[in-house]
Amino acid sequence: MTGPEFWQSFWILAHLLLFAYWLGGDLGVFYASRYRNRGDVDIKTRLLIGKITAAIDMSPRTTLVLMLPVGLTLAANLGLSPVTGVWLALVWIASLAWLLLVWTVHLKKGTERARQFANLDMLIRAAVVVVLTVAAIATFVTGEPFVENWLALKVLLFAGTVFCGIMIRFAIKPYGVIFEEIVAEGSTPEREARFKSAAKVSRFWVKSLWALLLVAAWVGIAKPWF
Amino acid sequence: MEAQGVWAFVHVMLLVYWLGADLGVFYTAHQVIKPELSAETRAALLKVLTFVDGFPRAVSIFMLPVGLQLAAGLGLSPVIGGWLWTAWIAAVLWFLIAYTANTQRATATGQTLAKIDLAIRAVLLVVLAVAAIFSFVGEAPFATNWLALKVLLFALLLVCGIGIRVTFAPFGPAFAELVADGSSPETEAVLKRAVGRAVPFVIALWVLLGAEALIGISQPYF
Repeated sequence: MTGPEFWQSFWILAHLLLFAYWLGGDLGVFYASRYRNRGDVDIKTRLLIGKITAAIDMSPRTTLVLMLPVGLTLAANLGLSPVTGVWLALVWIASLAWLLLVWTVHLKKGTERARQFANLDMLIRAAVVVVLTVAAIATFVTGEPFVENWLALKVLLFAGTVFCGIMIRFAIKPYGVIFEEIVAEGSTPEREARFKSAAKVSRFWVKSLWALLLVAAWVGIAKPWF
Repeated sequence: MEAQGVWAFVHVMLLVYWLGADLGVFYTAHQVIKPELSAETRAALLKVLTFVDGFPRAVSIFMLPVGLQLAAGLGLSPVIGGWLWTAWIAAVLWFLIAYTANTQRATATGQTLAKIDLAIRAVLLVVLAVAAIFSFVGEAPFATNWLALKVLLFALLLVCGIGIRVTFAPFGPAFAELVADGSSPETEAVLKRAVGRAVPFVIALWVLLGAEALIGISQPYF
């Protein structure tokens, strides 16, 4: 195996492991959160499961952010992306800074700084969705910036997953408020019903995200020509 | 749509639900052993753990026929046609045995099935290791060394799985005791020890899975 061949294999492995810890990690989050949403489970258990869910959720949250620089590195090595050299290094630095932000939001939960960072994180996500969607559509139409349509499709699907992530955040906002109510003032059928309906909206976006990820994996493996 | 592509996709998905799901299991296992939590909370956590753990348990079994299917498609394995069908049927049967053993753990049938499952794993690891070594020395049954290495590492994965089962065995009875009689320093020590002793096998399993993936991606010639 030559040096470049080894490194490309290494990046594919990193890409694959990110996918595993994204989708596979989500499984624990998804199932544990169903437990948290049950009105018949005692509140201490629900609170703790909420905490555990948030901790396991850092696996998908981390991998999503790293997927972008790793994907662009792979694309650069294949000669399919104009983001190379210094630009690629910049993407890496920006992504690592974004990752630091995401972890600060998690670790400093409840503080003013975490709230500010969470808003900034939302802005970054919105910008990523717009930039990647435009780049993907431009590629379909003009063949640039990404040379191949399958890669442009992956970029579009990735933008879709980030969009789903934004929608999940909107969906769980009322969810958090109701949960605090339940913790502070106790469970009532009315509160549990509101809680469940917010959870339902969020689950819809989670499942949409999974579907997009599966399609993205399929496109990456099959690299269809169109 | 090419069949080989579909199988490669399935192969990747199996890895995803093996390695990725394991993280949730690992993290939750370390929460369950916290004595400061209420028995009810811990029982709920154990339910979450058991459910998520069902995924690695299932996909690890199907990794074998899917891997053989891919190898057959590449023309690297003699397990083709009727033999490949046999491998698939055997894998489905093995899955049913392992699944029932896991869900009926408390019953006598469950315990018998668990022993059969363990025996299957022991036989399989020997068969796979021998097949891999034969392929390294000669040219058969697997045509390339990278594939033989993947098969050998799979045998080691089975060893890790058996190691986890053996080290984790005292956990179930101790947890039942905890639920029935409440927490005691002895029970807590057994739970903690069971998880602690399984950890090296779990980490080894993850490293092996990563190595399996890297070999599959790079298919090195040696």
